Amino acid sequence: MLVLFLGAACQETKRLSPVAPGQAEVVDPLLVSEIGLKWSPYVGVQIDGRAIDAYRDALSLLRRAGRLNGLRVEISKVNQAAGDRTIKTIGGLGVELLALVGNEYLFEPNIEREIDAIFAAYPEIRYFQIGNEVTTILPTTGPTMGIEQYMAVFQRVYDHVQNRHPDRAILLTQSTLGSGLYGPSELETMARMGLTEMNPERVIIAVNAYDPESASQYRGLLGGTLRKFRVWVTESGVPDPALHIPFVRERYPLLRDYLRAERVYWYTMWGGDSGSQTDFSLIKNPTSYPNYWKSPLFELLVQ
Amino acid sequence: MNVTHGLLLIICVCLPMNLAAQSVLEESDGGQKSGTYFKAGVAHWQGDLHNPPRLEGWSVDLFGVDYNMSSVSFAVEHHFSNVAGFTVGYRKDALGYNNAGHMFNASFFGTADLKALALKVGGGLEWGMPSLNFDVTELEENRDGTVRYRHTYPQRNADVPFVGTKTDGALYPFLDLSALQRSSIFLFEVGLRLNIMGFHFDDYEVGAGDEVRYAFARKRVLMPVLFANFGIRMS
Repeated sequence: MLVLFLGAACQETKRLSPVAPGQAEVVDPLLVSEIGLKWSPYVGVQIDGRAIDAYRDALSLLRRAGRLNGLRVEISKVNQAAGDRTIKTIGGLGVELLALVGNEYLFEPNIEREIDAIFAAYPEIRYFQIGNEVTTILPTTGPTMGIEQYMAVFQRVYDHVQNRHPDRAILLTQSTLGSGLYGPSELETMARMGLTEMNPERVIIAVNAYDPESASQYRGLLGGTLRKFRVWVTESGVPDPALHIPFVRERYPLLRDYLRAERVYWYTMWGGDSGSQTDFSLIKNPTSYPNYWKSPLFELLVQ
Repeated sequence: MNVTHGLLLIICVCLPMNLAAQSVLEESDGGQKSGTYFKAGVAHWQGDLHNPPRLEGWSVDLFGVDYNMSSVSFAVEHHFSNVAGFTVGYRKDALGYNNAGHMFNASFFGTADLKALALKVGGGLEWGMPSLNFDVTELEENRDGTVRYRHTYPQRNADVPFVGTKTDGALYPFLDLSALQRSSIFLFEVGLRLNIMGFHFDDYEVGAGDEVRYAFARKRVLMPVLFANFGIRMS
């Protein structure tokens, strides 16, 4: 009996088994089906005009395969004004857009006016995320922001949208980073500073989660004070193309289980701003369109 | 695995142990002597968590949660001479994960001498960070854009200092039934624990226009755990 117990215990593992890039070309139909079931049809796209042709092609392939419902794009001061061509182009593919309102807007004295301008420039977008990893991602050479300051800004945006644009938009909180206890502690502070008083039908909690075990530390909050709020994982992935498929197969279900995540956005379609060819990317060398590189996961998803 | 299966398994395991013990009956104390033991053990949990959906239009069979995991445990157990005692222990569930599945327990028990072995019945409280295996979300996306999901998770009713966020620990009672053999400096034990855990069954339905409906339910669940322990007498 002891041997049986120990044998069962040893079956538990959390290591990902790599899948070499070439293997996707002769992939098992059962694996295609399994990944299709576990995949969440949402992807982050970095706005870069150089990639527009490759984006149009790659996103259309995913869309036709039924593997793409929505994209997360960032609205920055560079692309806000006229309605960015890249955002408009990919939005024209019929996918739903989640607009990340860049961190630089959080320092605007009149952020309400900025929100009005963004709403006017992108009338087709319904979901707006106000900032991303604001306490960890901002360079120390510029202005930085603590979570208490952020919540004051988010409260202003929330009040403005509910008063001036009721039913126009669903807001997402900034994404806390699910690493160790930092993200959960930050979300706990956000809950204490007014998040729980907001309408859960008008606000969605966003989490960036690259490690399910760390993400599991949100469980107490999400089953407690934030129980009525929806949760989206706005970034997830792994920086190794050979591990993309195992990540979706093994880690996506865990992110759903622990965070009750309705959606998981893969980070990223092409990591143009983190070095030209980050290994998180589903495609690389987009300027080589039509001969751009596709990751094994991408190849599998479009089958 | 239900309670009946667990009891049958205990009988199957105990019977050969009982027969084998007949030959050393003279030396066995049947659980009568006082003493303190250090115990190490393994356990296995398996079962299904289910609660009927409360939102209209949900398929009854859609959402059921199977759990299946193994644990290791360590404990110090003291037997009084008057066939009773207490145990203080630690159990690690779901061995592959560090952030959860750490449970501390304390219990009191009584033993009845059945000659070749002792029947041990006890109860106590368990406190800690419950295993991640109990947190499950089942999600269904429909063609009309409606998303339905059920989040099943253990009731978190206690804080664990210095770990996680506030109130993400669990405290719940349990009952133990086991067959115990103390021979020389050794202790052998196999049995069944019933953890009486609270679970939440939270149903969400999000319409294509972001209309959200909820139905939250909570109930206590009897969770059978089969275990086997080996101990060495310390004093």
